[in-house]
Amino acid sequence: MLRALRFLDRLLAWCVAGIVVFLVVIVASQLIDRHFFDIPIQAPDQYARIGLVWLTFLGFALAIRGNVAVRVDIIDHFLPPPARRWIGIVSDVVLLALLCMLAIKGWAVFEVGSGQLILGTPFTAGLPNAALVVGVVLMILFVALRLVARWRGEEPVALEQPDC
Amino acid sequence: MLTLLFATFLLLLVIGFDVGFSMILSSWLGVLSKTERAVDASMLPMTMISYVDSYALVQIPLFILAGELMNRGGLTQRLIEWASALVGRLRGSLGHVSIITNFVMAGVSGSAVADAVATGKPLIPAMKDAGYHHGYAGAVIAAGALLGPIIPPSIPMVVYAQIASQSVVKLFMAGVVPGLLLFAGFMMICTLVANKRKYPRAEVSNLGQQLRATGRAGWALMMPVIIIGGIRFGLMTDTEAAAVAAIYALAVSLFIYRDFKAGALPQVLAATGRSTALILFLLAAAGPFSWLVAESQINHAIIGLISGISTNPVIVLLIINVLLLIVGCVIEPLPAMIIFVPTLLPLGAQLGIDPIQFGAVIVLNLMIGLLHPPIGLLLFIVSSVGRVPIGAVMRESVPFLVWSIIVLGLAIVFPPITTWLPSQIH
Repeated sequence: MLRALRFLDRLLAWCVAGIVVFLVVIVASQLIDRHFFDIPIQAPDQYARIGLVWLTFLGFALAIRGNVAVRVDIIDHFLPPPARRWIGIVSDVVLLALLCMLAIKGWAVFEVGSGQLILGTPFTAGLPNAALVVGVVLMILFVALRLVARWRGEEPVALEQPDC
Repeated sequence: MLTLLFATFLLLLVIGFDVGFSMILSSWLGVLSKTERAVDASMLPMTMISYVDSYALVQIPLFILAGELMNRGGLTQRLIEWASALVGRLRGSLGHVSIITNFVMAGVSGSAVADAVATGKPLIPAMKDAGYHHGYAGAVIAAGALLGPIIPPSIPMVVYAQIASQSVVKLFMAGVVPGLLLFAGFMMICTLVANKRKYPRAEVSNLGQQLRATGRAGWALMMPVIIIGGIRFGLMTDTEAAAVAAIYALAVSLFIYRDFKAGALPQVLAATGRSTALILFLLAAAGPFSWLVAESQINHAIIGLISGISTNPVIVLLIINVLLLIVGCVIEPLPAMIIFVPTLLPLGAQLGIDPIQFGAVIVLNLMIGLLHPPIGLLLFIVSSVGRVPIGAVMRESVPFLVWSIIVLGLAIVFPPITTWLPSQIH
């Protein structure tokens, strides 16, 4: 189980790193195409947009895995640790419900998008829409793991750098 | 529905729920409680995706990557050495070095947080060792880092451009004059504080040493020139400039300065992706939230309320800015912008306020929020990076904060400060 999780963490970090490389290359290719020589890629901006949507949702799953979040933490300074723990547990349960709804509704959006071709590419709008579903499913897994850890009394610790 | 939306959102924020998920959850409840013209909850994922499905936003990860590579590849260190050689003869020169280094870095990274960490790590301990007031050491780094999102390129400006459908390049240019005013004022404050407290001078460098330091930092100094020059003279788009900056920083780090090992690249790339996602997920979450706010027609109520006080654009801008400064006390700048800009934009348009001036003023205002208590992010970052008490940093940042608010006031009262340079671009 732990080995599988470690593999997933690394795979996710490498996927996110790969998308960033893809974005650099696809954007730079436009500059090269205009000033130096022809690059036979139609609609590179469409590919970049698809990459960006994937980066958003996979990258955020990675952020959740590393317990990095944008939140107002004023309350943390006033509450004792047991109260913080219970708020954390309730928050994670609510978050799981929200994420499950997003996964179900996101799947419907994916199915609708699968019938719409993205001009200049061989892909349908299902490809960027699938990013939300995949990202949200990963978030469900990571939040569930965090919830179990909180239940055991462990405080989530933010990881400074992703594990590659 | 609107009351439920905002009440839930505020409650979730207070208990420390992630800001993005707070927006999505309150939007979900808003959708469920919507009885008139009911909508399906699949509107939530749909608008979330559409809010980040934009080519203009692609430059955000690229500029973040360029900044990360600058910091890890020794470019930032060369800039610090160059600035030290340049202004070392001034009393309290490490303060000036902090501001100058951040000013140059602002021309590449566009992120205040990254700049504060990169310059704070070497310079705060150096200032403390030289006998500077510990709070001042943190405050001067925080103030310098504030230049990051004002001087182009700027990630908040890109986000504003996306929300308001404005030209990114024009918004970038709108930040130049306010950025220069902030820079000049911060340098002056450093001089006054250093003279008053008799801070030591660093080793004086002669012309030869200054030229050598400039030569060593030349590759780093070229970065803002390439980016801003490339965009200004139409050689590349803003997004392409971001890619060029990232590739350039990587090449210089690997092959010229050789401070960066290729093996560390995957981690830098993954960290870049994660930082980007934190920003873009907020934007995605703002999609359904903004949709519901627009649907509830709160804009009309706000327009009516503020128009009832005055229809003078300057007075209205002042009112909006006072409101945003208060908002900045409890919500971080980027979420605040994403939440409030869609509501305020129609008001600006109705009163004939130039959308570029409006954008520059709002970004400037919300970025000042990084510097003022109780949640001034930069204050906490420098406090943590430099191991300086937060209270001392807050006290010492007051002069920088006051000057920032003066510049904001100038940008409101004199529109050409933000509109003249963008008007030169066709």
